Amino acid sequence: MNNTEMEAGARGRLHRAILVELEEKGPGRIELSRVLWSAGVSEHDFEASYENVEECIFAAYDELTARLDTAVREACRATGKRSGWPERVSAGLDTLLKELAARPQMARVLLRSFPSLGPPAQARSQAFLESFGPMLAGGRDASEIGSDLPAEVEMLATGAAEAILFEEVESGRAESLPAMLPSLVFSLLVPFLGPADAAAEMEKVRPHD
Amino acid sequence: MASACARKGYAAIEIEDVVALAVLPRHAFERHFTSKEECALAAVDQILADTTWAVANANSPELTDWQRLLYAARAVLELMAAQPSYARLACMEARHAMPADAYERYAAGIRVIMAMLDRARAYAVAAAPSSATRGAVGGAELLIRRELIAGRAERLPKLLPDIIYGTVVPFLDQHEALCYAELARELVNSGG
Repeated sequence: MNNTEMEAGARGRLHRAILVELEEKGPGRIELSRVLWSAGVSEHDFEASYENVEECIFAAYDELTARLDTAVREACRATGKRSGWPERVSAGLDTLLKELAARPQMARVLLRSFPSLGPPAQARSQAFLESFGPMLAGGRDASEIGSDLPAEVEMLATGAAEAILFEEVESGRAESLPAMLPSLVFSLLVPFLGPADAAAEMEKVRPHD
Repeated sequence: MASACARKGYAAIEIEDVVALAVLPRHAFERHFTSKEECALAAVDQILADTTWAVANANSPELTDWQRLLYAARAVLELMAAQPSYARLACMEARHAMPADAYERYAAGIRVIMAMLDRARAYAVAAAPSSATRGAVGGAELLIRRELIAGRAERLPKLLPDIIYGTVVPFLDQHEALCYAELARELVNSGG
């Protein structure tokens, strides 16, 4: 379904409104009329752009994850060519945490509400998480044992970060995520660098008074 | 219930989906459960019981702490491979889609695994943050979810070496972590 009929601003409002509705009401309880009213979008415009509510939710989720992906990649690039892999990862993670902390409701959508929609949404969510794998692959070159690292080391690192983030967001602490940067740097880097070097990188990003 | 959730997701299923798959009349369901939620919670409780049984069966007094971890992880992966719908219910639906009581059961299961793994802190070569244990388990969870989503539950036991590496490397020297991963590989290959 092509959604060029709806201008970008309206589409953005609609996407945000439907994700808010999903987070607040849960799957199966979304009131489209409420979403449309909140977004200032007509039913006609909605039907011209989306086959159904689920299609709109998936489009909204893709927009959310694309935005996060872009922000993280730009943060990694912005560290410059002289920075090492751990610094790039730390910068990307710092940006991700700030993005999630600034929009806690979207953090809950990302980690809990969207996957609750069922198998297709869980597969989409899994794909988003796995998309960070190639970004982390540089850790194999940074590692002293690069060629001996297990095949799934990128997934182990990604899963470690996701589990910690999930618990923080689920516990209502999304706004405090930036304070978790040192701990998350450790968990993201330790499968590649080992505990001593990961701890050293953790100290580099710890705020010092 | 587990099969119905694996097909449509907990949020989308109705009691009719459950009884159809079980080939049971509705009144049979209603004799045991008052709601979809109650049935789902009972399924989660069954998974927890089966997992506890599998881990207990894998334990033995003469095993070292690390061997216990190894055999327990293998037992859980083999259980999930044998019952993929149940595994999906526990690892995904309870975590994301089911009511709070189910999530709390999932979280309790994770806490038990973390408590076992926290014994490794006594051997830690560097100060790992308190969240490192949660992260270590999380790495395994993501790999497991990947295989369940892809319909490849039978591959789960083969992930044992990677999972063992991921769970111990926050605490042990990398070379030591690789040694335990190799032990896991030998265990997988030997079928013992």
